[in-house]
Amino acid sequence: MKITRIEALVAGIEHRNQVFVRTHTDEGIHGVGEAYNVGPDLATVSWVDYFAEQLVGRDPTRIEQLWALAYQGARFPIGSSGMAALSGIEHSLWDITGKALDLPVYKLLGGRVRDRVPVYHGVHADDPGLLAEHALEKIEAIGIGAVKTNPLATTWRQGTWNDAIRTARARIAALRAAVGPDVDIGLDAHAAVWELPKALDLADSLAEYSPMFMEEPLRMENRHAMGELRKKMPFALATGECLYTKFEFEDLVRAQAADILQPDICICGGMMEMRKIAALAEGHDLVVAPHNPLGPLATVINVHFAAATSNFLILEYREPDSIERALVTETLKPKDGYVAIPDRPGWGIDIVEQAVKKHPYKNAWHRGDRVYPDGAVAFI
Amino acid sequence: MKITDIRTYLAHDGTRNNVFLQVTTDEGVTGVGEPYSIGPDEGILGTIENLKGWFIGQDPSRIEWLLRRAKNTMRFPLGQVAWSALSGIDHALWDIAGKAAGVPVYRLLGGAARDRVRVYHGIHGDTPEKCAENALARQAEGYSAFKMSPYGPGWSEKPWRYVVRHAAERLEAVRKAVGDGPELAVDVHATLRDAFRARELIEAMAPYRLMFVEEPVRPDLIETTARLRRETRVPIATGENLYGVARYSELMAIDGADIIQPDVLCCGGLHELKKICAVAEASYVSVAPHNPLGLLSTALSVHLAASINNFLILEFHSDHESPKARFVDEPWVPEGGYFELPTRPGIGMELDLAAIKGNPTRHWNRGFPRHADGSPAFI
Repeated sequence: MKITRIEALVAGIEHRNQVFVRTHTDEGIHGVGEAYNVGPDLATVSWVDYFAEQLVGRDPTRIEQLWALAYQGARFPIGSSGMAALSGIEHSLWDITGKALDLPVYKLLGGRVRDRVPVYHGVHADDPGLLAEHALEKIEAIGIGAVKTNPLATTWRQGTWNDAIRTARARIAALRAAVGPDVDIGLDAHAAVWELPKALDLADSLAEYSPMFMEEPLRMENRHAMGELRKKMPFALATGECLYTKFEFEDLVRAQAADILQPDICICGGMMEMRKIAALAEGHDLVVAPHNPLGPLATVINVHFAAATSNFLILEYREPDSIERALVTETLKPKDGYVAIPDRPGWGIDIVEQAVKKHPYKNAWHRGDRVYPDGAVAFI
Repeated sequence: MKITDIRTYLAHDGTRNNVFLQVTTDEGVTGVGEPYSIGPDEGILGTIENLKGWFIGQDPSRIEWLLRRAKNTMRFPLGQVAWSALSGIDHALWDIAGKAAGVPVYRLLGGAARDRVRVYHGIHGDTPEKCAENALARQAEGYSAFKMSPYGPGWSEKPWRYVVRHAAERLEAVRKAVGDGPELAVDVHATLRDAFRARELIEAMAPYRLMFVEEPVRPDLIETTARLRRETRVPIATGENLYGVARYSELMAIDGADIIQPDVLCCGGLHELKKICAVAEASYVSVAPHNPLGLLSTALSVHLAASINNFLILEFHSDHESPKARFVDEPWVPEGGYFELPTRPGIGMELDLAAIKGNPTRHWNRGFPRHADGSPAFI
């Protein structure tokens, strides 16, 4: 079997883009993948075309070799758009291999270690009451068993740090009271704080509400500080969505900078890279909770990973909107806090090209600016 | 598909036992495996007899689940007996998965990352001249990398000054015989306890340009190996005595080796090895699998080597020429120092049960070397 063509398909969804990769072969089998929607998404398309030049004509089932060809062939550190493209291409190779062998991808990874995959959903609202309401809604309407929220209100930079902490406490207290003592609450500071004492203060102030973890409490560039913070943390520290490849996770693990690793399968390098990162984690008795804010295809790919990985903890899940649903042949629906594991060959779902054409790419996606009251630029 | 039985076999090859197993299924597909021949080999058979009930009736494609469940249930650190037993079962499960899918096992491990697999050949000789002769003979067969012991016979009872001088003489003779091009490795075989002695030995051999020095000290305390890596200029290799991914994570965390040498027959099998190789790759450490035991071991190692990006070179001892070759249906033979990738589904090698049954187990041990004062040395 030979690769004949690799193409990127970019859809414009409600507030951002969805970037797919589709790889075709001379045997009529094709495979699909999802690249991270990094912002300047046309750059990702350009990377897909660039990698395709090296990969067309080759056997798509030689995944380890094709990944090395692309990664090592790029010479310079690849960065976000290139890693997104490489991850999406890599997914499509697993899909092809699974279809060619008539096996779901998790069966190419040592088989299923669990029967269903636990998921959590993000909840958002500045007002404590609304936040609590939103969480209950997700649990009841979507069938979610755990939630995650940013502990800091969107307005936190406008007052003093003490104001920000007080508001955070009120919000998480309301959330905990609403969901009861047994529902897991993840906290996501989203790499917006960069001072270690503030991050520690935030964690200490919220520890009484028994969070599952604090995600990205500091900037991901500062792994040394993350390691210092983790040693003082009153509960688990989770991070990793902004790290690429096993190499960056090796740094993180050596800095003892996380209890929970959160690689994103759409940007860390793909499925094999996730498996290698999980192996690193397993050797250090750490667990993996994949970052997964993108579309339904990304969710299915993550579910195959979770199905086959012993030291998996919980998967992020976001309910797809109506456009996202239309872009794929099927979506997974949580029930009682879990999603079922698909067992059709490959990923078990496909992209609907018609729908992608109906919702074309319009613009690069900007995340918006965050500023401090003095006009200085903050982190998003 | 369901597992119906795990059958175990011991066969004596004239030197030691070979341990084999077969996992059978209700669909007629059978997988083969080889646990390490550790010494008290009946211990492996007994372990498998005890735990096979945990596997019978289960889906053989759930490799990670079956082995994780067994490890978790045993609770205590497994040791070489249980690690070898589970490694053998892992091989058979991958063999079944490959046969069921109709593809060689490496195609289930991410596909071939290379087109052929390079080997180094072991060379032997009681004297420097004999070593050189043996190396020349192997070189003529097309091999371009070799590994040897630094020691002559009875070394542990000789004065240390003699041992160091003699090691340099052995290396010098071989290097002169094969020329500058070929790669030479040395296996100290974990015979030294003291880092200062290992360092002295390494420095005496370093002028002959070494591909690596293997197990220069006892592997129990990996920090001692790491210390040698910091204090010498020769690549340090270790791993045959380390089982499971966690030990390799410890080794990587202290930058303890340049090259790792896990053995697929005792490190936990192929699924554990993929994790071990990933851990090494993240630290840019390469993998030269330990492979002294035999033909099935070589076949499994070739599948692994094919599938990983950070493979260096595979140990090989022309086992197709040895009496144990009769225990399998078709010995694999390298050409010009390389194995071609196999094409048969599964591992691609079957057991010859008639030959195995015709060579029943015999008691064996590795011998009991001693120091000049009568205290036990390491083998």
